Amino acid sequence: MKILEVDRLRKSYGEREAVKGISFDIEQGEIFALIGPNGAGKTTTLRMIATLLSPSGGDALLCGESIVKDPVHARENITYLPDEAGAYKNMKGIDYLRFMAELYADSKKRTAEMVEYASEVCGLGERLNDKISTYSKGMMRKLLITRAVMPAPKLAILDEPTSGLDVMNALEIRDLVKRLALGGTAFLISSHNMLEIEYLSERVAIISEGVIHDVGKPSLLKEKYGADNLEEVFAKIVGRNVWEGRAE
Amino acid sequence: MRKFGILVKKELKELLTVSSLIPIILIMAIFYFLGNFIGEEIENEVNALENIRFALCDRDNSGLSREVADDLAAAGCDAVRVGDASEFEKDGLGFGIEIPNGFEQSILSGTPAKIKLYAGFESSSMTSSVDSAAMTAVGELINAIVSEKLMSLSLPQSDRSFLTNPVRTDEYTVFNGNVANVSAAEVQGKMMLQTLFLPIVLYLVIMLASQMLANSVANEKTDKTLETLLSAPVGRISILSAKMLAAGIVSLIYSVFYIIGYSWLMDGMYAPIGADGGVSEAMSILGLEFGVGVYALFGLQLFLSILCALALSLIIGILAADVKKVQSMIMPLMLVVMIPYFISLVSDILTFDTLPKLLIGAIPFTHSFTAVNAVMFGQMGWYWAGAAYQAVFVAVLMVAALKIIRSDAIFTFGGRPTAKKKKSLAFCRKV
Ligand SMILES: Nc1ncnc2c1ncn2[C@@H]1O[C@H](COP(=O)(O)OP(=O)(O)OP(=O)(O)O)[C@@H](O)[C@H]1O
Ligand SMILES: [Mg+2]
Repeated sequence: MKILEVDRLRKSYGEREAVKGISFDIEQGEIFALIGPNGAGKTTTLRMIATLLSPSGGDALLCGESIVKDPVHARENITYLPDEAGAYKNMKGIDYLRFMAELYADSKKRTAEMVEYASEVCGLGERLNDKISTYSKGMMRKLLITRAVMPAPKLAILDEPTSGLDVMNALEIRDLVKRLALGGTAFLISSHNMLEIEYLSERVAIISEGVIHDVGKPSLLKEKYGADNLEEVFAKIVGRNVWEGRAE
Repeated sequence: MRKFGILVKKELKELLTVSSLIPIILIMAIFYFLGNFIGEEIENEVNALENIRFALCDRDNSGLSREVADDLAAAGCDAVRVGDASEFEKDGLGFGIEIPNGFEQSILSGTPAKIKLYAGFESSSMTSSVDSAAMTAVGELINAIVSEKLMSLSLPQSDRSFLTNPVRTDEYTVFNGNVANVSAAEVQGKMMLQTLFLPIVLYLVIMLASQMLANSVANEKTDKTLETLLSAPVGRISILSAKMLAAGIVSLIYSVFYIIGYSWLMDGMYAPIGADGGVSEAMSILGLEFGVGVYALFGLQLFLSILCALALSLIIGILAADVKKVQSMIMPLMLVVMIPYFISLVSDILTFDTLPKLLIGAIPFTHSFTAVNAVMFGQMGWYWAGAAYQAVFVAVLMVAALKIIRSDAIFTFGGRPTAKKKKSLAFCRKV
């Protein structure tokens, strides 16, 4: 079943077009990554799908509901973790989880379930009772990612969830995402770290300057471009495009 | 030294931006206009002194009292004869003077005689005491007239102090048809004391409320917690109004603390003065008591002003890229609050001509500064019109805030929220 269908989505900031009509789909329980360099248009795309920015053109369907025509209902199927997000520093970790759970849950019972689940999964243990201002970057990220998955959304949108983290923390978060995807939540992740994303995601879309150049399983993409890793795939795609651009 | 110079240059560049200078220039402009404007008001009042008309009631109807009246007229005073000096307001006169029965007799027998002075009370502000100044002048003139006559008579018992000061004055204040034996200056002093701190409280609370809310919104923007909230299944109206309401409640708590604190300050400062010689009693006779009703109506106005400030800061917070930007964007708001604040410190906006009054009244915060006077001096029309205006203002701003938060402005206005961080460009190495 398709959770997300993106259809020729575009976004302009004034004169500059940041996203130039991109299309892709995500299946239930799939981990899908949008990879590309700084300024490629990843955040812009994710914000549009998270119903925060209104597209200049095109549409995306979240479980069949249009983000353009009915953002309020479309929003009910997702959670969103902004790039470099923070949390309310004066709250304790556990209180933050409870606060967010209350926004998503429709009953006390459901809230309690969410909080219990989140405190198990996040791996922060006793530190959940400390103020968020005392957390390290890695702890904060774990807290926020658990927050994003605890309502068991159809689609969790994570903008650069592992950027700025050390290898150990990034690994833990990758494992966390993989485990949660088994539970049926689909993930839309953005990253500019292609090596890492290769192990995490089932399919990737390579985006640069607002255009998706190719979509597919990492193994198939590597085969197709005769590359050893996604980084090389990217270099070849962009290189080829540059070449084609010059030839015209 | 060279490096120090480079550092200073960098600091100056950061501090001395156009947007940091604008507020200062605006303040200068405001001071300039306020100075001229208030000066004009005072000049008008002073000019009014020259052609003042007053009521004169001669109950003595003696040779002396008639002579006094003639001499007053000769001196250029426009005294209108009436039957009851305390009702001078009915005839549109500035004040009233009564020469009581037995005036001449008392003077001739060598004891100082009393005349009664009736002054109206229109406003508690500094510039509106012109009528009572004129009244004092006329009282002194009557004394001088009588004194001169006594001197020319060369009476046997020549008590010098009696000869120079044969006439004593007894001052009465008239307000809303009530008459109390107290001078208008005393009433005015007392009222000023009571209301002195209110503009300051107002100003502080409005400023505090706006800072608080705008900073909180801007902080949520930088931390991206606002983005998180907006992507959650919560209505945008709920997000906005929850912020407003919470900030409103906190501001009201602050106001209560401020008012209590200030009343302690006032009590502490004026306790040594002790009993006020019946001024409070006289004020309750006049109906100028500072009762619960006045406080309640002032409180309502305060709340409306807080809401106005909060709605404005909400928009500022949403639009500002970060907390630093909030500071410069909130400056104009502070200046706008300052205008009625300054004017109300030195003068009574309610006594202005229609045009300036409406201009200042267009600033929603003005109505909180004029609330107490409007209630005390029976201008309830102005009070309720102001309250309605503020309510409409808040509603319009809230709709605007809602529109803004539903649009992209939160991400696209005023640049990108956070500076771009350094990221590994690993994959871009070599093609
Ligand atoms: N609020 C904005 N106003 C104007 N232009 C913007 C805004 N946000 C993004 N852009 C522009 O749109 C383009 C895409 O930006 P976007 O943030 O989507 O890229 P990204 O792929 O997320 O980059 P990064 O990896 O650095 O986060 C860039 O050229 C950027 O300068
Ligand atoms: Mg980004």
